[in-house]
This record gives sequence, structure tokens and C-alpha cells, in this order.
Amino acid sequence: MTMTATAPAPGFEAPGVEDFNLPPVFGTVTKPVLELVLALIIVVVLFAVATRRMQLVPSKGQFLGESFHGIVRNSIARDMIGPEFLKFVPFLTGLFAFVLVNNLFGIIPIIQFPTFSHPSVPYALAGLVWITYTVVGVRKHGFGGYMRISTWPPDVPWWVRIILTPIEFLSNIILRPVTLSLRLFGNMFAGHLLLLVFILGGEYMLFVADDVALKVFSPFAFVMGLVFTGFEAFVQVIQAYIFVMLTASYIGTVLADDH
Amino acid sequence: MEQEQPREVGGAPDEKKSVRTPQPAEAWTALSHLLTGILLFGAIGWGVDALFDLRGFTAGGLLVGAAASLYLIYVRYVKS
Repeated sequence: MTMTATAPAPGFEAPGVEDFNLPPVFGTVTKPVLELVLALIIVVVLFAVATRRMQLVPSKGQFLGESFHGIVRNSIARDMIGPEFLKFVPFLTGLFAFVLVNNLFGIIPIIQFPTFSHPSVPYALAGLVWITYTVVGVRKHGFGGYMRISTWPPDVPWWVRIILTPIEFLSNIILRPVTLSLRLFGNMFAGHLLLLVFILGGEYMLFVADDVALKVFSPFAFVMGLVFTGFEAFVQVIQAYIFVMLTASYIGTVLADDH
Repeated sequence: MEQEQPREVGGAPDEKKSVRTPQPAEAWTALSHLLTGILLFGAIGWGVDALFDLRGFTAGGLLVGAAASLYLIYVRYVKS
């Protein structure tokens, strides 16, 4: 009898892709658009504050800004790019800060939506990265040289090259930005979905379901939601780091001499 | 070739490292090559099968693609 008592309550609908299609706030402007603008403002203001009144003995803000810059400069750019790394540090620092802020939006209360869980946003960013390393490569080696590095395997007979060059062309030139963006998108999408499942599931167990047992056990769902929020914070930082590290690595690859 | 190989196997890693550090992107690139080769030649084989109403070219294409990808990774990252 207790089993049939749950029948009147509506069944739990698992969160899905439709939860990511938010209605426009005004006109065609949606929440992710506003988040992108907000992220831009946050990054610009934070760095403006950090670099204002630069002193030899840094203030707290300047110290944080310099530490952030130092991470990108020393452990990303210098390791990945090599001798010409300095001119890419501003781009990579800005990229890292922008991606990081957008990722962290996923767990910041009220905002709570990672911008990159919409694939079009990382596509645009990866397109920017693609243009950057293509231009860098063409400038360094010329168009022919860049294509030779990317699609011309050394020391193989011509008939093998007929097979290998299409693979390298597709993989290096066309699919590389796609994988770069899908990695970021997949992580943000899955993470947000995971949090939705625990929080909305807990809410359903507590408020909608008729079964007393479900109400009793609902705190566990919220606790798991909190645990995974912490886990998400970790993933969001790591993914921002990986995105920038791979960007630097691609730049380093196109800058490298023939190998 | 004969002169270079012992140098690389011997004490050259440090020297080589100073010229070009190994890139983490190469790991992703190798994976990307592998999948691209399998999918590209699998798709070509599937197209041949569908176009001429044949069987077997899809599987053959997948295998050729896998072999070609592995060879490409060998040429790019092991041999040189």
C-alpha cells in the first residue's frame, strides 16, 4: 500500500540538455552572454587593480596578480613554448584568467552556470586559439613550411604519404580546435549536469515525493551535491589550466624547428 | 643516420631537451591521429561499401586507418 501511495506525485524528471537552454534575459541576450561580459569586466578590473601603483614591495593585490602571472609565465609559457615565450605570456595570462572566471561561474552562488557548458562558446575560444597558432606558424615558417610541419611526415615514401598526409591534415588542421573546445565543453557540461542531478534530485525527494523514506534520505543528496561542488571547483581550475597549457603547447609545436 | 643514432641513445637526451622540450600536446595529438585515421578510412570504406553495394570495405578501412595512424605516430614521435 505504501508503494501505491507514491503514485499521485509526479515522477522525477532527470535534468537534461534542455536545462542548458536558458530563456533570453532580454532580446536575444541570454545568461551566458551576460556572464561572458561579466567575466571580461571581472578580469579587466582585477588586473587593473592588481597592477595599479606597482611597488617593489608588492601590496596584497599586486602579489596575487604577480603570482598568477608567474604561474602562466614560468610553468606554462616558458616550459611549453621555449625561447620565444615572452611575447605570448599576456595572451595566455588573459586567456587563463578569462576561462577560469567563466568556469568558476558554475559554482558561484546566484550565477551558477558555467558559460562553457554551451559548446558554441568554447568553439569561439578555440577558434581564436587556432587563428593564433596558425598565424604564428605561418609567420615563422611561411605557409608552405607551416603545412609541411603539420601535414608532411618526414622520411616516408610518397605512396605512404598519400595515406598519412590526409590523416595529419584532418587531425592537425581541422580537428585540433574541435578537440580543444570539446574537452572544455564536455567537462563543464557534465559537471553542471552532475550538480543538477544531486540538487534537483534532493529537492524532489524532499518536497515533491510522497514517500517518507525519500524525505528522510534527501539530505544525503544535498551533501553529495556539496561534495561534488567542491570537486567541480577542482575540475574547473584544472580544465582552465589544461586549456591554456595546450594552447601554449600548440604554439610551441608550430614554433619548433623541423624534428 | 648511422652517426646520429648512437648519439641519441647515449648521452644526448639533455642536449636534445635544450633544443626542444617534449610537448604535452603531442600526447593529445597522437590520440587525435589514431582516432582520425580510423574514422577517416573507416568512412571511406563505408562509402565504397554503400556506393557499390559491397561488404567488407568498412572493416578493411577501419583496419587500414588504424595501421596508418599507428605508423604515422611512429614516424612522427618515435623515429625522429
